[in-house]
Amino acid sequence: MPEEGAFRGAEQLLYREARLLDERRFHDWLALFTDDIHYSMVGRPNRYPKASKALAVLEADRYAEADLDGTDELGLFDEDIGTLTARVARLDTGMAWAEDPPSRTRHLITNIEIADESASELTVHSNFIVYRSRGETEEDLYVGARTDLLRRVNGVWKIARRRMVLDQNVLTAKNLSIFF
Amino acid sequence: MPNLREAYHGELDRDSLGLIPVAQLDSYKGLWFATFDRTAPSLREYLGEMAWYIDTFIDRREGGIEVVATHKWITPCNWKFPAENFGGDAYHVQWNHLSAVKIGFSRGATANTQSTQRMVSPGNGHALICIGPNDVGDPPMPEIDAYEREIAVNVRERLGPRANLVNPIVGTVFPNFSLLRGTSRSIRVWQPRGPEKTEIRSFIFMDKAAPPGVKRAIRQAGIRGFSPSGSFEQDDMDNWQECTQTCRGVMSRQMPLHNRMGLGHERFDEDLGAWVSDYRFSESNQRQFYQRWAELMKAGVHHA
Repeated sequence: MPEEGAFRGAEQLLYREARLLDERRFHDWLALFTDDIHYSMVGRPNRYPKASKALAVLEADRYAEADLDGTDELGLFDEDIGTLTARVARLDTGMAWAEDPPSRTRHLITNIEIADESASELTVHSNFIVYRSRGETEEDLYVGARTDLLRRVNGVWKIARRRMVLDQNVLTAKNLSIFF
Repeated sequence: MPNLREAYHGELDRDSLGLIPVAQLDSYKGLWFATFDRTAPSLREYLGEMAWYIDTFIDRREGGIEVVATHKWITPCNWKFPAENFGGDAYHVQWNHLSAVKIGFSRGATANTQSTQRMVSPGNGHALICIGPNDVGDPPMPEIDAYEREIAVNVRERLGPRANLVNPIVGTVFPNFSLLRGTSRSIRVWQPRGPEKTEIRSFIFMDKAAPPGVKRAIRQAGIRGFSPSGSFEQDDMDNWQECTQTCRGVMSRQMPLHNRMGLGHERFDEDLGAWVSDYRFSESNQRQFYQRWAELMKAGVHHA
């Protein structure tokens, strides 16, 4: 079992992050990342299961059940601190039309689990449901999982790596103009 | 077939059933096209002069291209908005995409006032934006700039003399297949999924012969510029949706669409094998696109 203090630290960081995003405090949000952050999101492939009898008529190699193993052909975000900062700067130009009017978001973060722990680093799994409403009646739901690497920098937990999986193959939202 | 004799009483004429074969199937440099229309012209005839322009996207080096990322998403718009946008809307970049240009995601080549950019229509409704031969539309990444400098002479030699006249950076093969080489690299289909619904199938590509670091850079440029999260693309989605909604109005449906920018200021250019606008902004391509669309909507059968 992970140390209670580490668990609370991770949990509070993720909750605080969710609140900053929903309050559109994006510059404060950027400060939660280390300078070497790698921030990525992928969609999920649409595959037959390995045991499928349909494979008898297909090339099995092409239809292996590769899924949450980090396959990145459906890359949706692939960012470093420079491009994350630029994405936030874009919102400040007054000409980022996808967020004008802004999305109303609610980030729900659940299933927080510490997978690996050392004195200065934590690997943390979590799930998210993000509700987005925009304009008068537009609605989108984004559901997925995150695996974060948290690092203690000068006594403060920061996010040093974020890998996300969005649980869709064909994205049903028109865009990803919000952060996760 | 299970229970053929008992359930179908041996009366099923299997030879008369089955998958409906396409009438024509053909490929152009690895891109496959099919049609159920027996009377349609052959693929090469259909592409006509557009074939050379396709080469400038997918056949710049030996080995062609490979896909480095895939994006699939559904956007609430009519398919014709994205098709005509990629086929000739240089005019929207300076306003719609200025935020992405300002923060350095893109060079904004189509908004460059010094460019000899032209709208180019090689016929059959096909349409492209071509910047000047020495203008650069690639994503501003050092790996890509270095790579492009290295291959520039060979690419021009391979593509032939027309590459000294124009640099095609985005276009639409009529009706709904588009190619992009500005800010990112993508080939994509705008697949209608019913009223006000278009599924985008986009494939980020790079020359197969490019080194891994350059492929990685293009993949990142594609994700950051022209994926659902892309700093260009997310704004387009919003605008196409709004255009679709605005056009649905009771009054707006009764009004003709104003597509007259540059009307009378276009001419046929023998060297380019295409209709070409006199100025760097024009709706000459949109007129060609919609004229072809209107012809086909009125026609009972396909007329080349």
